[in-house]
Amino acid sequence: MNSANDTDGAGGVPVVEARDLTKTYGTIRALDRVNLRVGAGRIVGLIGPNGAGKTTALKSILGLAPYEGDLRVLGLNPYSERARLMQDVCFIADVAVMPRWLKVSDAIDFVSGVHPRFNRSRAEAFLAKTEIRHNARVKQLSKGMVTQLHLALVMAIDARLLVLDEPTLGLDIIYRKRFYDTLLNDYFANEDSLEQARTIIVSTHQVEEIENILTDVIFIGHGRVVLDLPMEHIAERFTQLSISSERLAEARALGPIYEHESIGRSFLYFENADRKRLAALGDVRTPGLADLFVAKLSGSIGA
Amino acid sequence: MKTFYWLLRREFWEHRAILIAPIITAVVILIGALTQLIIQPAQDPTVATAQLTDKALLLLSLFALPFFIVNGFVAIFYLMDSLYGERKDRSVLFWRSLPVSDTAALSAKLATGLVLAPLVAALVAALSLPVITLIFRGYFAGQHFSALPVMWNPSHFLEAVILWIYATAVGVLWFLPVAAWFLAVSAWAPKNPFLWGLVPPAALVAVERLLRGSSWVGDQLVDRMQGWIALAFNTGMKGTGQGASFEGEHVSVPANLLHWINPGPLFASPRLWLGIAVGLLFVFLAVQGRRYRTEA
Repeated sequence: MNSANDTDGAGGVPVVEARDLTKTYGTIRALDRVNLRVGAGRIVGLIGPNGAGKTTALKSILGLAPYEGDLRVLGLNPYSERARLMQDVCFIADVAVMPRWLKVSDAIDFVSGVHPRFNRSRAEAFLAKTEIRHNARVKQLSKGMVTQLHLALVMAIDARLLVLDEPTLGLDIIYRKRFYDTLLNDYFANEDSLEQARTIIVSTHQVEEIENILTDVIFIGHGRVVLDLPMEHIAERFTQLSISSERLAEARALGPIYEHESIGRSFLYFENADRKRLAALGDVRTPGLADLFVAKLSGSIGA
Repeated sequence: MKTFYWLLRREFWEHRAILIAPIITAVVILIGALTQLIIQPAQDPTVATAQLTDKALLLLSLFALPFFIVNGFVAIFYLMDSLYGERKDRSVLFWRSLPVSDTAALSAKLATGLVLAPLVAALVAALSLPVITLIFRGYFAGQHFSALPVMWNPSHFLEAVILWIYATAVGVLWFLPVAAWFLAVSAWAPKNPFLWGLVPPAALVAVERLLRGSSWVGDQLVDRMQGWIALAFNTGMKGTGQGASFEGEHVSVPANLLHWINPGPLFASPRLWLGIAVGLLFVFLAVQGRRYRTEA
């Protein structure tokens, strides 16, 4: 549907473009010369261990914190033009950021009052499907319901970029599943009627949860981008080889980037290797994101 | 404008003390007046009528004072919590994810603490005045003089309310640096904004006293508290009556309460304009703080 707007940015201005994005806290480099380019219509997973710099990167993109380097989001400087940018960008952090004293009906009134692109009836229709009462305060809602409320507000905004920072942290599995289902069904439901393609950047360390919805994946570790790839290229680039121990030496000679052992078999991960050659040694398949993540990050940490 | 309206409403949703505190003040004053009435119903009947008239007029003029004093404390707590609180509970991430500039958000907070809170206080004072007047009717009942014509007089009543609104308006200008200081502290304090707001000025006073034996800083702080009264009000004028005493000092009371109003010396005073300049600097620092600091 959005083939014109590929990751290559062939379809015009990229949604996010970062060059040498750097952020230091004292002596710690939370982001170290990060380069990023996110095209319109993509669903990008920003994946990294705790403290890798995911939240810092997202805060920079949202203009919530100062940074060094060049960063453009929808063509704007997020730090100096945040208020303007937020007309087109929505943000959900983990569950705790809705103010506890706020009443549900007041929250709708307020966003409706300050946001030019908020569609009140959409938010109310969304809330009608939940158990959230309009006269409840945020502090009376469960974590899952607070997330639903925030999602209802965000879904009713005709935004071009949605940024999610560990949105399901601390939620039980039912709410987590429902969150992503809603996200895909509702957020892209009216895609054809929109002028601009919608883009999502989502950070998490629970890789499996979002693996099948992503179009692109970015691994981040120690403030650096370790991998930045469209999902469809993963199969061409990475191979997982599963073999018995007697052929291990032979496989190791081909230069795996990572290996681990499980129930008597060895799993070796290869990058840019000839899959046919590997297939002669054992079972080959495309690694899942979780395995790939461990493979790439362990490699970078060991290096 | 619409955005600003909702920003103000949001402040009142969160900080209901701005509304509740003046109502409690009114209740306390009414109870106090009633108690007074019961334990000491009549006064010396020989006191001259003119003196009692002046006393009643002074009471009317100063009736909003306790409301303003309570409001001062409420506003300080409000301003110190306004930016620190949203960082502490991380709701700043929600507020700043909306298309509202930090300047607009801070203007709304400053307007709430500095303008709306004292206006609400003056309004509640005005609404409770008729009730207190009835009580005073009983208070003076044992005398041949009745304060009722003075207090119940619509023109005096109107004069008093205009006087309070005038006091609020000049107070906004005079207290801008104080309010903006607390806002800036709230924006930057790593924790406990109350200590950060109050300890540095107190420490400056103490250091100056220790090192130089002088009290310039302390004098400035005291002047910022009360210096505006002598500048913005006619306190030394010749009254029509015999005057009344307030806190041991003899005060001449004008027959028209609007004659208290005299903004000339205030606007001519460099202290006002210097204060406004310092206040704008603190506002700027507060805006920078909100942009720069999202974590408590």
